[in-house]
Amino acid sequence: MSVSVDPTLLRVGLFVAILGGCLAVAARAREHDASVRPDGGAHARRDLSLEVASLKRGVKRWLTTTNHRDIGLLYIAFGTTAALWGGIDGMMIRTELLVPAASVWNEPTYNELFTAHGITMLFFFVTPVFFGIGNYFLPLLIGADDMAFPRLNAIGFWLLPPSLLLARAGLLSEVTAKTLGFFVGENPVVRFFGALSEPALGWTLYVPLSTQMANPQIDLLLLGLHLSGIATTLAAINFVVTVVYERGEGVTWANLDIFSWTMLTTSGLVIFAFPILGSAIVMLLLDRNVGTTFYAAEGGGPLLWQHLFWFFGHPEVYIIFLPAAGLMSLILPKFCGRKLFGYQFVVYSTLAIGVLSFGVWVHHMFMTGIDPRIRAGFMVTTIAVAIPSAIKVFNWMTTIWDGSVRLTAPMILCVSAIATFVIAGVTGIFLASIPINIQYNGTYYVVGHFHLIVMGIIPFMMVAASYYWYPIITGRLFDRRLARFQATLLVVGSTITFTTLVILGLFELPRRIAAYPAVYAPLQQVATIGAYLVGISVLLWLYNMLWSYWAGPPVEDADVWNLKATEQFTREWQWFEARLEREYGIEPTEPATVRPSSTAVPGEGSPAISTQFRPIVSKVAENTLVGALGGLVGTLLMTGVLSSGAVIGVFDVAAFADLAGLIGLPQDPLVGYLVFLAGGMTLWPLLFVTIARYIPGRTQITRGLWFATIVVAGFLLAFYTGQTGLELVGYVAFSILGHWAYGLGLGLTLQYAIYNWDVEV
Amino acid sequence: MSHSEVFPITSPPASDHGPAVDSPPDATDHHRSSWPVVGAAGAATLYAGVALVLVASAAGTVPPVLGVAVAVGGGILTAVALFGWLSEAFLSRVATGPADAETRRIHVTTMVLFLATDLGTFGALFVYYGFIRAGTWPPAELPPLIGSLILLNTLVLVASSLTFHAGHNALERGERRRFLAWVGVTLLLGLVFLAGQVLEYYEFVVLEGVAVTGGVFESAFFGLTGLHGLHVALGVVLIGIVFVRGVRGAYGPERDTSVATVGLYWHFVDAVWLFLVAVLYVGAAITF
Ligand code: HEM
Ligand SMILES: [Cu+2]
Repeated sequence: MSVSVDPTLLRVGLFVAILGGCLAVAARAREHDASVRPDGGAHARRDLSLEVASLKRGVKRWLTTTNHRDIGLLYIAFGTTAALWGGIDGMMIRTELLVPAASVWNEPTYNELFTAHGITMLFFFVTPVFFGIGNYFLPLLIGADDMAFPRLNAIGFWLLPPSLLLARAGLLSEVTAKTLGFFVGENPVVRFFGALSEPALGWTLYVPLSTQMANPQIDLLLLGLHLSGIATTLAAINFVVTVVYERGEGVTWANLDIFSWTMLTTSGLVIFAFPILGSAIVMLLLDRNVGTTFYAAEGGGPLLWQHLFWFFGHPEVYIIFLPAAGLMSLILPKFCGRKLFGYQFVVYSTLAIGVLSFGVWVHHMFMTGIDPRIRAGFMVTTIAVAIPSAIKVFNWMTTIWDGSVRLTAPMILCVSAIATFVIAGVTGIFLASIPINIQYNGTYYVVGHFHLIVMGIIPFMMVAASYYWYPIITGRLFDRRLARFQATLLVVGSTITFTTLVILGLFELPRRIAAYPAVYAPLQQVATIGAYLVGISVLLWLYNMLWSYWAGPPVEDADVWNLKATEQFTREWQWFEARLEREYGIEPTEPATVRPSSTAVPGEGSPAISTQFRPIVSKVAENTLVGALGGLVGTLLMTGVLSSGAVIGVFDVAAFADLAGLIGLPQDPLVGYLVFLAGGMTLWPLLFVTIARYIPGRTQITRGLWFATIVVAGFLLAFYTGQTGLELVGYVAFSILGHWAYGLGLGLTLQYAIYNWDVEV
Repeated sequence: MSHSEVFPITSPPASDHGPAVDSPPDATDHHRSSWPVVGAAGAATLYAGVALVLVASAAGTVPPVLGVAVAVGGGILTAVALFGWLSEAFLSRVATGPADAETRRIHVTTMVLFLATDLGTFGALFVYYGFIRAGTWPPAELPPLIGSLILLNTLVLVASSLTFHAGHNALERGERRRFLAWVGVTLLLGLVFLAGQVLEYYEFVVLEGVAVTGGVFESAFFGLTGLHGLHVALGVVLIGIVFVRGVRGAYGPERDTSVATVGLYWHFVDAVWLFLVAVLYVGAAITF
């Protein structure tokens, strides 16, 4: 496969096409807006006018605003744009990997793609979007009039667009040079733009590559990152001061919502981490252009860069993760009808992560020959940082436990995000172990690990928040069915892609290389298909957001999510309700029944875990025991049948020896039989009691027979020893008979236990 | 109820500042300001100018001076914006009663947070110095670091911290003239320190031939003293502003917010200097 389109032009072309598509959707949606006002009249349409005067007014209004909600939206729009940009790069990376040879684009392009992708996503997508959400909602949540420093807030945003332009100037100038060159031919201006091309370094900008590559775009990238770092730091200071000093009446440290806690912690991390990156970047610029020796071999060397970069870099991963965790803690309880379980522990774990994240950076440098004792220390701290993350996970799961779950689009994303985060965290713990790290750190395993967070929980929670708060921001409702579909597609796509990458990594495929051996092609293609699903889901999200903004049904009741029924109608919604009433005369409503979000009544949203726990444990123990007994009876009956088969000669006892060999035991038929017996008493009965209620049949006996019939297929394959002809027929017949014997024994025993010992299955 | 808009997605447009019924009260009296975007444009131009210099010298088709001119223009624009901002935020509200204690606390905290970021900014350079200091030492022949100039400069900076503190105390006692005198002295001492620093650079670079690119020690030396020098320069500007505002009568015993924040900054810069002298000047000279 080979594509003749110029990749640079394609990247810009796709971006422009998406923006054009957005405009088209907006225009169509405006025409379709047939919504009816609550007072019966037709809704006036939203402005989408391209007249000079109104455009001018609009530009002025957005440029000079210092309102936290305006700035929040600017941040979100900026971050989304960056995400589209970085997303196109990601799609092109995956497209290249469809084939083993670097033939779709080429190697240099591939290297440029993953560099641009990583930097755009980490620096210009995630932090801006979270700061945008924070800007819009944090003051509402804490009852503040605005951020503490509205002007500082504005400049913190306005520094970002030029930063992004500087960082990505390589692409723009390449396209400019090509287009200009096409029209005017070779001239100094064309050569000026042609001097820049996208850097191919990896987002970690490792020295000595980054000091030795001549490409001046590297300098522009460093300048852009420096400027964006200043912007981020200013915003972080503003958040800290806002949370500490601007809380409204009744908002204390003890009832501050978790999202604000995580924004506070994230901002604290920014304050200590970003300046280090800032200085490290300036030192790199000086090395490149002035001739200082900061990272020269005789000076600090490449190791100095790695220490400084990762001392920033590891906190950075928590800077981008914590707000997602905060959104989870905020949104999840709303759709469980339960308040967050273990509020205090979630707060403490957030703070603990904040502190610990500064003490683990060397786990990115295990391969650099650092003293093994130091490495071991960092291994321990890294594993320790998983504990507070696990605390969060368990609190989330407990919140869901026995809640009245409503699978809305945000909730689909919440539960899925917990799952991807668990996989991401567990793969991370393995990576922290030095021997495993040495084996896997340069492979797709790492890519899979961190993408399950950066494409798992982080964007999942952003999208969840976009749905959850969409009515507040726009006053309209989005298409909920499309949203549920989009959420599911996003989850499925990301999971396919990034668990596949973990597997590819386990096969030790190195990362950051365009070409790969052909054996990896099928898995790579699976990953790419997953990635395309993600791409489609992002476009669907964008469509839903835009279409509903112009044509969605207007909100007629501030309690969009039925939060009053569980007393979770929080401050931002109260603010919204008051506004609806003030501006549109929409009266507040009261639900028919109201119950608190934390109750002691089981099934009513709050489990009495300790009292429920005991029955569960005893039920599991009982089922295990009865199952084992039934399995023993069944297996003995089956043994009888199989023995007859062996005597006749259709069943080979040597198959048992193979079974033992398979799990690493001595290849002895007796050992194999014991394994078989153990399996028959544990694995199969447990499977049976778990799924029994879904198997047809009224008594356990019929169900047991069905169960045996289903599982016989696996047995036939596993114990096949090359029989043919009549022997084969006999083998099949005796296997089926043997299994029926097993199913009968199991079912009978269970039925007996149910009648006589009051066992519940 | 307005018919012109379905739902104002955020605050109303700038021109709608009249008695707009359809805008939420928190938005109507909301402040607008052009200074942030002008300041951002200035900073962006400054960075773009630097970028232009670097590209121009690589591409060789545009004279680098052009970039320098753009950068200087950007710097001026940033300065103008910051001044406009300051006058909008503070100077315009001069001399009205005691400052709100909460506001004072907010500004002091903000300064502390800013200084916390400075720990990282300086920290990275000190780490570099630690790296080379842990290697073969001395890496090459070192310039004569400890002399009367550096001792004098240290004394000047420490003294300036004390004088500023004395000025703040005087202000709290309500002795305005004394306050102004002490701040004026601080300003002078800051300038003297900067002059001393320039003199030291002159001696090193011109007389001794110690180049910025001379070697691993020079990178640390010029990096750290340069960064610190920039901080002192900014501090002198801030103290200058405090002085001018003081002369205009902006401060009183209960109205000392910016005196407190600038004081914090100045003491921090002083402390960094002492650390720097101990580690870089004295620390380099000591060998085991
Ligand atoms: C359960 C907690 C976690 C543990 C134990 C953990 C552990 C690790 C380890 C040991 C590595 C080093 C891989 C290498 O050899 O390069 C790594 C890489 C990485 N992790 Fe995590 N991690 C955790 C959570 C996170 C989170 C929350 C993020 C947030 C986005 C994240 C993002 C990353 C990234 C981006 C890299 C790759 C850096 C590179 O490009 O080399 N990790 N992780
Ligand atoms: Cu890490």
